[in-house]
Amino acid sequence: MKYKESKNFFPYPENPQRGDYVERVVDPRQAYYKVKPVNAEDEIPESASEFQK
Amino acid sequence: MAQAAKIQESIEDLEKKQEWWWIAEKKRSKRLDYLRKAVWKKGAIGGNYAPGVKVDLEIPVLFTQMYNWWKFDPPMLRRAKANAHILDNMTIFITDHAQLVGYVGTTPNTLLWRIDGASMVNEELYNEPGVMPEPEQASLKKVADLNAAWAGQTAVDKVARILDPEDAVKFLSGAIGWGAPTSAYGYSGKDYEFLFAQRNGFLDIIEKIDEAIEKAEDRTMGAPGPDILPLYERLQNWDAMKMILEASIRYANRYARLARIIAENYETDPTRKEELIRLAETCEHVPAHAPRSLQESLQYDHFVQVLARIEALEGAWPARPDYYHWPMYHKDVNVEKNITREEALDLVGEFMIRAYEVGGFGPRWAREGLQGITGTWVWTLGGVNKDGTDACNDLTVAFLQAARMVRVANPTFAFRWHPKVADDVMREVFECIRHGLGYPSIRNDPVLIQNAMHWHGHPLEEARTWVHQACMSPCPTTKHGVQPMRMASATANCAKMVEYALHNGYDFVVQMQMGPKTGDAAKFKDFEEFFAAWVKQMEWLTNTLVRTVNLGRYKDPEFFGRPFLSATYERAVESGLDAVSPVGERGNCWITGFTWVENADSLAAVKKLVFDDKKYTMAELLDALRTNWEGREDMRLDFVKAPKWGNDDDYVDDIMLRCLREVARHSREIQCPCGNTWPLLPENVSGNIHYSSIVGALPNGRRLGDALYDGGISPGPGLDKKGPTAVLKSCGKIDHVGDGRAFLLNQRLSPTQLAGEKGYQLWKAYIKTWADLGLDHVQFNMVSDETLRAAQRDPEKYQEVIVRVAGYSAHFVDISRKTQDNIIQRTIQGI
Amino acid sequence: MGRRDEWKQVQNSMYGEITKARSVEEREKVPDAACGLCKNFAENAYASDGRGLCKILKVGSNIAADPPVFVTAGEVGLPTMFNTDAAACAHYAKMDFIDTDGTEVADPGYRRVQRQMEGKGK
Repeated sequence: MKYKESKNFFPYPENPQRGDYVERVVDPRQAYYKVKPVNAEDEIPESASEFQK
Repeated sequence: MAQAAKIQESIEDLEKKQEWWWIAEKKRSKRLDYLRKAVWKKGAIGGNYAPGVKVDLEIPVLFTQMYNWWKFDPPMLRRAKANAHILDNMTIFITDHAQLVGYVGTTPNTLLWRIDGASMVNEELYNEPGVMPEPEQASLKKVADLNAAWAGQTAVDKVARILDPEDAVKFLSGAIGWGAPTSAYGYSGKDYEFLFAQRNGFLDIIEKIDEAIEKAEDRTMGAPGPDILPLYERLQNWDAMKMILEASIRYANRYARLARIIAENYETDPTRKEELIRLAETCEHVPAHAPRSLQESLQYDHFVQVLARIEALEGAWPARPDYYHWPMYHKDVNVEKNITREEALDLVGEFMIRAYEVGGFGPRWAREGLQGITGTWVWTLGGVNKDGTDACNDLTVAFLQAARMVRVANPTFAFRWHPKVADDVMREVFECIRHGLGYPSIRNDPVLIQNAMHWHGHPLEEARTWVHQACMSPCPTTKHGVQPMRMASATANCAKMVEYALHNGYDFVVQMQMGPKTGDAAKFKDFEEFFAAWVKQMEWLTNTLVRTVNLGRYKDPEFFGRPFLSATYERAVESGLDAVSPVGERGNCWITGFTWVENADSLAAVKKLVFDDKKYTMAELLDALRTNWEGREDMRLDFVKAPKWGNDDDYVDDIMLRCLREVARHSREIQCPCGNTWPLLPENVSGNIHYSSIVGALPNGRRLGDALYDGGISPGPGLDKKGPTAVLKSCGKIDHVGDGRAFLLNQRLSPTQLAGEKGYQLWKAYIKTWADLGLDHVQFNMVSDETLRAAQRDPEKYQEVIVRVAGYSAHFVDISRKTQDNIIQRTIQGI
Repeated sequence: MGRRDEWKQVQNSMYGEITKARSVEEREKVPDAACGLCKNFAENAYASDGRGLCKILKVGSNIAADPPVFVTAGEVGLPTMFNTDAAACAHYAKMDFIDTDGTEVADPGYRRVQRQMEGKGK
C-alpha cells in the first residue's frame, strides 16, 4: 500500500506529494504517536505500524 | 501485589518507614505518575545501558547525508545545513498525557549518537552490547559504514593530528584524566539573559542577525580594505545562524501539527483534545516568539536545550529555572490566575521528567564516572538577584515540591544559600534531603560570588547571575560571562601526582613513562624533596590536560562549529563569530580534580612514617607499593592509621593547604584561550570507582583496585573519626575563595536523628556552622545502611531509592556494587 | 630520532587500527588466540573501543609480520586491539578469567565488555 492510500497519511497543504505518516506505538513503558515526513507515492514498509483510527 | 499493598498504607505509616518513593506515588497527579513511569532511563547501570535502550541511527544517517553533500561549505554553514536537515526530517513523537515535547532521539528509548565527535567513541558504539536496534545485523552494517565514512574525520581525530604527539599519547592512555576536547562531548552554558531576561524569541534574534548582516554588507560592498576581510566569513556564520533558527521554528511547528492531527483524528477524550490544542498553540508560539505563559516558558527552555543537544550532545545542563521562569509562573498562577498551583506543579514536574529522559551515547569512561546518569543536570535554585536581594520565590518552592513527587535522579538541584533565605524555603530544601533525594546540594552564595570575581574577574552583577556550569563550578549567564565550551578533559586524576612523585614519573599500571623524571624517591633526603617532586608532577599533569583542552577549544569553530548555540548567544549574534570562539568571552575555566585527597593523605603518611618517625625507609615503602602491599598487611595498616584529612589535625591539614596553594599558584601561570586562569575544583562524580584499577597502591594505605575516596575534600570513607565538626573544621581551614574554584564535600546523615522538627533544627545548626566556617559546598545522603543493604539484596523492591554519589544523584540500583559499597562505607555523621 | 618523531610513532600505532575502515566481518571476528583473551593485555582506560596495551611487548613489535617482531625493551607498551590475532605471538598466555559483565566497573586488566566477547567469559 502507498502512503497516500493510508488513513494515517496527512499531506502538506503546500505540497500534497509529501506529508506526515502517523504511527501509534505502545512500547513496554509508554504509548505515543510518532510521525515523519514521507513521499505520498512511496510504499509503506512492512515494519510500519499501520493502525486503525 | 506489593504495590497494591502500599497503596493501602497511609502516608503517615510510610513516613515512619521512610519509604518516600511510595509517598511520592500517592501524592503526585495521575499525569505525573504516568509520565514518570513512562521514562526510559538512559543512565548506565554501572557501565552498561539498560535493556531496551537503543542507539538512534536515523539522526546520524540524516546528518551524514547532508554534511557530505555540502562538503565545500565553511564549518558553521555546513553544520547548519546538516542539522536543519535532521530537524526537518527526523521522526518526532508525542507521549500520551504530555504537555511538553521535544527529545534528542526519534523514539523515547533511543540514545542520541553524535557521530562527528570522536572515532573512538563510534567504534565503541559498534562494540557495545545491547544497543543496536533490531534487526541487529542490518544495524551493525549501517554503523560499520557510517564509521568508515567518519574514520579520521571527527573533531577529536582532527585535534589529535595537531596536538603534540607526546601529549596525545599520554592523554589517550586514560591514566591522567578524562574528557574529549571537542564541543561534541562538552557542555555549554546558555545565555539566559539574552533569551529570557531580554525576551528574545527566535524571530527576534533573526531580526538582529538581519541587521548585523545589513551593516556588514554596507562595508563589504563598500571601499575595500583589510578591515572588511574578516566580515566575509562572519556573513557565512550569520547565514548559518539564521538557517538553523528557521529550521528550529519549523521543528517546533512539526510538533504543533502532530498535536492537531492527534486531536482532530485520533483523540476521543475531550480534556486531552483541549490539552493537545494548547500544546499545538504553545509550539506555534515558541520558540519563534518570547513566551507568554508558564507552559510556553518551560517549552521554550526545553526546545533550546534539545536543539543544543542535537547539535552537540551536551554533558551538563546549566540552568536556573526558578529565576528565569518566575515571571511567567507569577503571571499565570498569582496575577492572572490562568492556572492553579497544582497545574503549575504538574508542568514543573513534567519539565523535570523531560530533562530526565534525555540521553546520548557516551564512552564507557563517562558511564563509569557518571553511573546512573548521562550527564550532570545540576539545576541552580535560589541565590540572589543582580541587586543582591533574595531571589527565592514560590517557583523555587514549586521545584522543590515537584522534585519530591517525581523523584528523578537527574536533574538534581543545587541551592544557592545566603543569610537572607526565608525559613520556609530552607524547610523545603531540607524536606528534599530528608526524603532521600541526595539533593539539593547547598552552595554558599556569598563565598561563590566572591570566588567568581576573584578567579575570573566577573563583575559583581554578572557574578550574581551564576548557575552551575556542571556539578559544581559557577558560571554567569551573561553576554561575556557565559561559557560556550567546557570540556571535561580538564579533569585530572590527581592521585597520579603523588604516584608519579613516588615512582620517578613512571606509571606501573599503564606501563609507560608518563610524568617527568623527578628523581629516585628512595634517595630523597627529606620530605621537602619529596614534596618538590610532587609539585613538578602536579604542574606537568595539569599542563598536559590544559594544553589539550585549550587546543580543542581554539580549533572547535574550525573542527566542529556551533551554529545553533551561536544563534542563542548575544555576543555571537552581534559579532558573527562562532560562540565557541574565545573572542568576547571573559573565561571561566577550571580543572576538575578527581582523586584529590589521596595526595594529602599519602604525603602526610610518608612524612610521618618515613621522614619523622623513621619507622620505614622509602625503599621499603616503594617496594611495598610496587607489590601492592603483598605480604605486608601490618605495614599497610600502619599507613592507613597515619594522620588523615578530615579530623581537624594540622599535621595533615597543613599539607592539604600546601598542596592546594601550589595548585592555586600554578593556576595563575596557565591560561585558557581567553587569557584567564584555571583554578582547581576537587570533586569526583563516580570517577573514584572508574579509576580504582588505574591508580596504583598508595601510601595512604590503599591497594590497587580499592575504591578511591568519594569526593572533593571529603575525607576517605571511615577515615573521619572525630565527628562532623572536625570534618567541617578541616574543610574550614581552606580559603574557599582563594585556594581553588570550589570544593565538594559529601556528608552522610542519619535519617533517624534528623526526623521531625528537631531534625530540621539540628540540620539548620549544622548549616550555620558550615556557613560560618566559609565552606562553599556540602551535600547530603540521608538513607540508612539498612535500606541500602536491603536494596542490594532485593533491588526490584527498591528501584526508586536515590543516593547522592558525588556531584550528582543516582538511583541506587543503577550504580555498580563497588560504588554501592563505597557509599555505604561513608561515615554517618551524628550531628 | 627526535622527541616529536618518537612520540609520533607511538601515536600512529595507537591510532592506526582505529582509523582504518573495516568490514563487519573483520570487526566481528575474535580469533581463538586474540590479544583480548591474553593475560598480558590491559584494556585502555580512556577509549573503551577495544584497544589496549600489551604488558610485555613494546612499541616496535609487530605480531602480524612474518616472521613476527618482538620488542620487549622500551618505555611504551604495544597498542593492540581486543580482537587482534595473537596466534603468532610468543608471549600469548590465555587468561583464566574474563569478566564480560559491563555493570561492575571492573579492572580493565580482565574486563572485556565488547559484544563480540559474549560467551567467552568465565
